[in-house]
Amino acid sequence: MTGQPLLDVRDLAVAIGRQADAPRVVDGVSLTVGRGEIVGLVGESGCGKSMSAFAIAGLFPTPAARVVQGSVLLAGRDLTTLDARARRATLGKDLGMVFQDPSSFLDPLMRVGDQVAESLRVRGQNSGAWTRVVELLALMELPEPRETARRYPHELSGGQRQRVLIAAALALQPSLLIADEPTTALDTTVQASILDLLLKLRRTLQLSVLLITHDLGVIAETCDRVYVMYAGRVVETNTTEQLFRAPRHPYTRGLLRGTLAVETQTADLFSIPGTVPDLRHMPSGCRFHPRCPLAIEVCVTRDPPLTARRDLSGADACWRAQEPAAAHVWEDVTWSR
Amino acid sequence: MSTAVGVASVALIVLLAVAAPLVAGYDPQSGSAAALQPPLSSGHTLGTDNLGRDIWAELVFGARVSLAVGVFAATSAVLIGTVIGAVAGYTGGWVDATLMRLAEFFQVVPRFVLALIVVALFGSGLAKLIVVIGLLAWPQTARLVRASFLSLREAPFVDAARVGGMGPTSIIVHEILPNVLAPILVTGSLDVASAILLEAGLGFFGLGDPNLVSWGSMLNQAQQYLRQAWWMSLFPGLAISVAVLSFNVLGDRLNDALNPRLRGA
Amino acid sequence: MEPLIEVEHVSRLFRTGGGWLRGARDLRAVDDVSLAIAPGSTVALVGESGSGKSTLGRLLLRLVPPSSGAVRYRGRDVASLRGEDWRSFRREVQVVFQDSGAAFNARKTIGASLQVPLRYNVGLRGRQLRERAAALLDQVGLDPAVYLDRYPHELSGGQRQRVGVARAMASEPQFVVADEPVSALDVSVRAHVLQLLRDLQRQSPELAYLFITHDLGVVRAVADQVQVMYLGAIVERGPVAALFGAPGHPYTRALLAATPVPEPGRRKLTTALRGDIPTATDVPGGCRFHTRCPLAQAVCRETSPPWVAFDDGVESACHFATDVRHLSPADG
Repeated sequence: MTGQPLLDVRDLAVAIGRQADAPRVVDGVSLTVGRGEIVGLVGESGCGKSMSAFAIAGLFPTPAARVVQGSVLLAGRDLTTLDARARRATLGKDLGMVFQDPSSFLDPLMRVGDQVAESLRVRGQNSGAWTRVVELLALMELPEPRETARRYPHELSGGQRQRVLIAAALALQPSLLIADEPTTALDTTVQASILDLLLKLRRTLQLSVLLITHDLGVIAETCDRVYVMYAGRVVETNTTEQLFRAPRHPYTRGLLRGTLAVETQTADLFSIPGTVPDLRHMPSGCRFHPRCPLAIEVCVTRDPPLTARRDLSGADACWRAQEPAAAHVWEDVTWSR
Repeated sequence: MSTAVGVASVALIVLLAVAAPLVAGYDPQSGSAAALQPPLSSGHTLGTDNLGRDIWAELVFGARVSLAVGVFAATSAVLIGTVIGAVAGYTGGWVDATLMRLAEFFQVVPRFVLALIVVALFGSGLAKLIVVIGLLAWPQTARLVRASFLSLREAPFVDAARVGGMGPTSIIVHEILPNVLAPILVTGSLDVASAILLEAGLGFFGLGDPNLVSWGSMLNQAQQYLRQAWWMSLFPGLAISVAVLSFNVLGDRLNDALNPRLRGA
Repeated sequence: MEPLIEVEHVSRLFRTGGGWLRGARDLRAVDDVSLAIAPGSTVALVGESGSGKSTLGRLLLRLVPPSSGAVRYRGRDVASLRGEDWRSFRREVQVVFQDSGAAFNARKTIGASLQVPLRYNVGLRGRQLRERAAALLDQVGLDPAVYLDRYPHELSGGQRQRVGVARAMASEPQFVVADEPVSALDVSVRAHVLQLLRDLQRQSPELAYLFITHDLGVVRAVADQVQVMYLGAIVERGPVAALFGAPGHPYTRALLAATPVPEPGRRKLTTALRGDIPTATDVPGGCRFHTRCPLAQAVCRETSPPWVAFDDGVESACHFATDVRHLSPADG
């Protein structure tokens, strides 16, 4: 990645509620996506990954959520300073978004082609809209795009509906696509083909993608770089290669050890003890310390910043990640109740 | 009408009906005063009717009839509808088909006409009225309960109860019904409103209980005096409108309040 | 070994449509399936949505009757069980559902839900009910003092799923159908639940599981045997390691290839399966997979493939199973 990144999110925080002490679902997240790069944002439910995506897109699923801090620079322009109307205008034109459940975003009574055309017409590109729609559907590798455009959502499969939504999101050729668990509701074989499509679009259109997922397998197969989120924070970031080869944060290490491989049988089923903290009762210091076998005094009192390390790519937010003990963090932990 | 106004006016109607002997001031049955006195005259706030009976006294005693018919008829409609709907929805197949054809029959036949025929044939009386209205109003509840049962009978938690050894009756009563109570309550309160309206309609045609004053029978008498005594028709008309509207609002708000998706969160 | 539960040529049809404008059509959710599960074994049933795997699970539980064929438990046709035989089947054959929130009655406390099998299946009454419910919670690692009187929505997904396991174990079952038991759970919680199921099997070695799942990682972690289902029929089966090492059916192969591997740079081929799974109202003739199979030949369109058995226990319903098993994972 050279020069200025396409998307540059700095110190973003999202709170639910109006009060000053409203709980923050996202708390100080910084991340970048370069041109033509696919960047993963991974974490478990409730870690704030989806909320980060919504905040970047300027869409919130609940009206109580709001950005309380930070900036979202897209091609150098800070989206958080725009008024509501200008903000909406960026959707579709500068960035597109797709979600987990494609059916809830399609009007069941409207031909899918018209729905894709709508995202074109909104911006006044009326002439030749239909031709463009068919082109887009073909680009999404939908079979018989001309006929498919005339179908209704219920006549398409889940995978095809997701392709239609990607077409709609990319209709105005935004440079960034934010995909929130785009394949989670789909079957494995369909998931693979949608991920292939994203890879192809990146290659052919220089599309940048921010891919939000809970699935480390999906990350490994598609992303160039990864951010790992825990309890509203980024706890580690690196190139995908390095993150899987040499994870540093105990949470990342735990997640990786907990994945189930298909090729070999895992003798013991591992999972990190304890549970994700409640938003309203965030632990002091490092938010992972109550579940971390390495936690010491400083972890309880001081919040570790996301820090780049000498001679290593990426960054981690852990006081002890550099110590040799970190490599063996989960070795003695076996499942117990 | 806002929630507070709806709830308050239902409460007020109930209160007046219960306390009728205390608040009426006059006997609603005997004309003790001069006939056709306008409102605010000589101690009759709402005036008197053609027989010299106090309109206010008639209204509050009429509220008893309206409420009794409304509540008891709605309750019987809800009970019949729930049982039939639950059996149809849970059992499915030909049982469901038969019961739903029956419900359709009752829905297709104009209710008012059917009520007229029944009362004309068997005579009127408060208890008969309640039974007739109850028998006519159950299909709505039945259809609603059936739809809920249809969607819940294959819910995982119901399957879990089956695998846990529960029999169909226990499943209907202990597993599914508690999840359907909210919509049943809502239709119940809407049923009260429509029963009040139906009773008033029958009363208007002179088919109410001849021994009782009701809002409908008041209107029946008022029609001959529409020119001379507007108050005779206005007040019972208002009472019916307010009561029906209030119970509708109550039902509507109950629906919102009992819907877990709109509650809290 | 004598199988614990057996499915013999079972089919299940559902009538769909049948309105005024569209004629009724039969949806073949399960189409002539046979399988047997031995005591103490863990069999995984793998397939995508619409494959009929959940219907097969419901058939085994006698939640739906088969349209044809028979389910046998300890050698007896389940449909014919009455009285005490039926009650003992109901006790011994249990289920764990996917935690979708819908697996528990939202209006009942956890304790009340646990009491259902204790009361109806086990026949406990009065104080015993609450005591056993508490003991069950304790067995799955949840503090009864805290959770017995909570409502389902007050628990996390992982906690609820443990209660789901506790509920299934209430009547000390011999066979448990686990229908996507961990699909809705986060990675870090998933292992808890899987380990819990494994531990319970270790405690009662006769206990058999049928794991219905779409996640091949879960299959690998828990199962000895796997049955692959496509469009209502079993297309391949065998020991997990042998089958995953060298699948003989192109569908299994595609499933394996499509499963993301948490190892960057190890991205395998993407055997592009053509199109989507057809609807079960029109099952393709010949081999039901031929419309999507990258290796389909003329014979696949015409003849239904025979079972091919291999020495390592793998059986594949594919005309070219022998060739497919010799393909290396990287071949297209």
